Amino acid sequence: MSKAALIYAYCLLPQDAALDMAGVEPIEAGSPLEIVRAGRLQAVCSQVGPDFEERTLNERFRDLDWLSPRAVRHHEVVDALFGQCRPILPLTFGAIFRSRDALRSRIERDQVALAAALDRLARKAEWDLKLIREEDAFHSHLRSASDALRALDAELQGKPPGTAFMLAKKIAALETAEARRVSAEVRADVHAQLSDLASEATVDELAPLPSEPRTRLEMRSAYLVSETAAAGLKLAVDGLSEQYGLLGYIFDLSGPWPPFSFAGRLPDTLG
Amino acid sequence: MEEASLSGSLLGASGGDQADFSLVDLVDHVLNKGVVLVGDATIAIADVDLIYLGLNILLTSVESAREAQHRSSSLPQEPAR
Repeated sequence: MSKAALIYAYCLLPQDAALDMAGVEPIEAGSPLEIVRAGRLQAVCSQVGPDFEERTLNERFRDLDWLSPRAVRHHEVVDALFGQCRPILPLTFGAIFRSRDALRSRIERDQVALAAALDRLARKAEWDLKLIREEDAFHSHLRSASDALRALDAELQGKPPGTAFMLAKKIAALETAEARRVSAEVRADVHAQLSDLASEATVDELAPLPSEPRTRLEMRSAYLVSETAAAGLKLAVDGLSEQYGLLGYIFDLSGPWPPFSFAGRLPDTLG
Repeated sequence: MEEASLSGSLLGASGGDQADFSLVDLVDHVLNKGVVLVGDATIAIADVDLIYLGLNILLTSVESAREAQHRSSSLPQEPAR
C-alpha cells in the first residue's frame, strides 16, 4: 500500500483569484493549504494522512466524534476563501486524491463544466431558509379562521357523548385537511416570493423528522442571490414573517453561505 | 480534545445558542451538498447517503429541541451565520 501523502481538496476557484490563505486552518494540522492549478481553475487543497486512506476513512466516517470536527474544518476553509473570492465552487466532504497530479488531471478532464458552474455563481451567495411552524398557534388560527370548523365546534357544544364523539372525529378530519391545504399554500407562496429574488432556488427534501409536538420544520429551502439582491431578500423575509407570523410561522434565514446547494452536479459520465 | 468539544457542541442537547444552530447547518452543507469530485485516483466513501441520513436525523432532532427552546425568538436583524 502506498504511503504517499493524500491530497484533500476543498474548493475550486478561477485561475486568477488571489487568495490569502495565511491563518486558514486545514483539515489536518501541520499541512498548510496549497494551490493546485489546472487549466482555467485552481483547487485549494492540503495533504492529509492515513486517516483518509480508503479503509480507515470508511470506518471513521461513521464516527461522529471523528467526522464532525473535520466537516466543520472543511466548511471553515471554504467559508474563509468565499470571503475573499466569489465565485467559489465548494466541493463536498471527501474529495481525496492520491497525488496532486491526480487532482489536476481530474479537474482538467471536466474543466468546461466546472468553469461553467463557476460562471453561474459569480457575485452570488447562498441564503438558506428554515420555515418552522408552531403547532399551537397554527391550529388555533385554523380553528378561528375556518367557518366550517367554527360551525362544527359550535355544534359540538352540549351534544351527548355518542354524537360528540362522531362530531369530534369529523372536526379532526376537517382540521387535518385544512392544515394540509394551508401548509401547502404557505410553502408555495413563500418559496415563490423568495425565488423571484433569486437566480436559482431549491427546496430540500426533508429527512424523516423525530416527533416534535410543538414545532414542525415545514420547509428547508435555499436561494442563490446576487450581492445586490441580498437586502431585498431580507426585506421580503421580514414581510413574509409579518404576514404569516399570526399563523404560527417562524422564518429562520441564514447567510450569506458559500453556494454549496448550487454547486451543481458533474455529468455522470465524468463523475 | 478539540474533536470532543466540537462534537459536543454539535450534539449536546442543552445550552444551545445561535452558533450551535449554524454548526448543524454547515455540516449539512459539507456532507450533503457541493460538487462531488471523484475520479480514477480518488478515495471512495461508501454509503455516504445512508451515513448522511443518519447524521441528519440526529442533528435535526437536536436542532428541533433547541428550536423549541428558542420559539419566542423572531427573525434576527442580521442573519445568523
